[in-house]
Amino acid sequence: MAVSIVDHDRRELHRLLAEAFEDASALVGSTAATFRLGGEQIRVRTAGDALARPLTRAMEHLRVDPAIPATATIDAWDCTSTGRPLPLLVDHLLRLLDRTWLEDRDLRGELRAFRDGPIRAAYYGPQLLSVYDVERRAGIYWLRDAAALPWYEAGAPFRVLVDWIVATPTRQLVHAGAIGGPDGALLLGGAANSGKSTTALACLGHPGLRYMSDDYVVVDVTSEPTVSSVYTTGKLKSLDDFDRLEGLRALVVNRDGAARGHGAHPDAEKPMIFVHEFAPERLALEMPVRAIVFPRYEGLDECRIESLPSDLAFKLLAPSTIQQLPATGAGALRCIRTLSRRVPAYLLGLPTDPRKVPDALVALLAELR
Amino acid sequence: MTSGYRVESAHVVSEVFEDGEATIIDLRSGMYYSLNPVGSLLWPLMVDGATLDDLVRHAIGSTDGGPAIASSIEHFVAALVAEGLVAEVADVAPRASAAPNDAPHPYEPPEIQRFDELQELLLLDPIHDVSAQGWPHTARD
Repeated sequence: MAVSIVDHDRRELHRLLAEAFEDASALVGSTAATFRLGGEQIRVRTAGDALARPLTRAMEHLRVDPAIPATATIDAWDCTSTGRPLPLLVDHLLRLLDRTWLEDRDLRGELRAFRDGPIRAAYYGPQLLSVYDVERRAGIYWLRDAAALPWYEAGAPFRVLVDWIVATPTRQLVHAGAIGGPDGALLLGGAANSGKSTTALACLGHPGLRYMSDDYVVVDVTSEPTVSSVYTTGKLKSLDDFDRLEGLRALVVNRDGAARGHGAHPDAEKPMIFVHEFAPERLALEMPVRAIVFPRYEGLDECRIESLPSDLAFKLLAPSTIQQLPATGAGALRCIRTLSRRVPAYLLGLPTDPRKVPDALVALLAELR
Repeated sequence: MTSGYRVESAHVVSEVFEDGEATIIDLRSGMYYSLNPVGSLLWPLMVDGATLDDLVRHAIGSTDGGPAIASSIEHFVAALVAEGLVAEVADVAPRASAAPNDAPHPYEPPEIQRFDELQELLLLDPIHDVSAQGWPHTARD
């Protein structure tokens, strides 16, 4: 039977989780930090310190003075490290959802009963729960055991809540990378493994380029489109891939997990680096968007750049954002459509040697001035 | 309640823009679909659930098409069902007839377009394009 809950009960879910967070904090203490992200100041608190570093490490470059007033909050907690059990009713709800799956959720984990109310909720991945109070701008992030935090959550922490916090009719978390030039940025679009990360990371050593992201950015199309960095994570498919990018392999933070081989082992991880930890001067936080570039490996001797029509850029950029972020829909599609109509788009045929990529992108940015 | 058709909201995200362009994304595959103008007129009815008769009456009221259009709409719905975007359901409440549109759209059979050519770009993955060794090794190496 489908779960059906009215607004009062939806709010109760948030209230129960928020109270449990306070209980957990009373038991083991709490941490707090504020991050300026996509035009918002998000106050992140964790109950205890088990989740603090894993969930904020990728956003450290956005940390600001905690005295700055927050525009939104995220409270994160787990049961195992804090000793605070999940509230009984919530525990039963999650057990029900574990059984009913698509009867009550969509493929991305969004709870259908919360789709149109004052509270949004998604239950996804290995039992991760994100609940957001739209009116109070207060998010709760829960998982059962902090030690079981998936590697990809550390690489892109809170992305579901971040999406809900930053989303407006003209602002959206978008599945894309970005690199910055002297006076503007190139958005890097495309599905997983299309070459976004390698392209972004290949630009790290170029003096004329700055790293913004390899996977998620906030795009604002209120006026001139802008892109904001969210995470400084850089991920590649395998440790060997980092060998092709000078000096980066030694900076991988999850060598043991990555050594198991991505995709071949249930616990396998993509190797990750955090750019702000070794090259903070190479980062750009916010820039106007000059173009959208879709990398595609073509095995060429040199880069090949080909203009794409705006409607194709929209069709290439929108699906992976919609696929990955629960509760994205019409608003995200409109925002991405506006973006794709305001800036030009290009296909970037990637060469065998990634060191040839930065000069090609510098030249493209110069042409777009 | 009677039988009709409803969008598969568990895995379908869609939007019809002001200019009449409809965007449909299948979350299972990442496949992108678009509809022609008459298809875009009919899609919103199926979001909430609509009978075939609802769709035909809406098309007649909104376009210059006559009763003969029923078979083309039936084909359209069958194509949506075949793509897994719409399901046949048994709990649709029939709609009241809408007032005819004073400036009806020209009728053309509703159609769905699947962007197969995008699949290659959207789903560039290691199985198809990059070998287990990663860049720059292709699966063909």
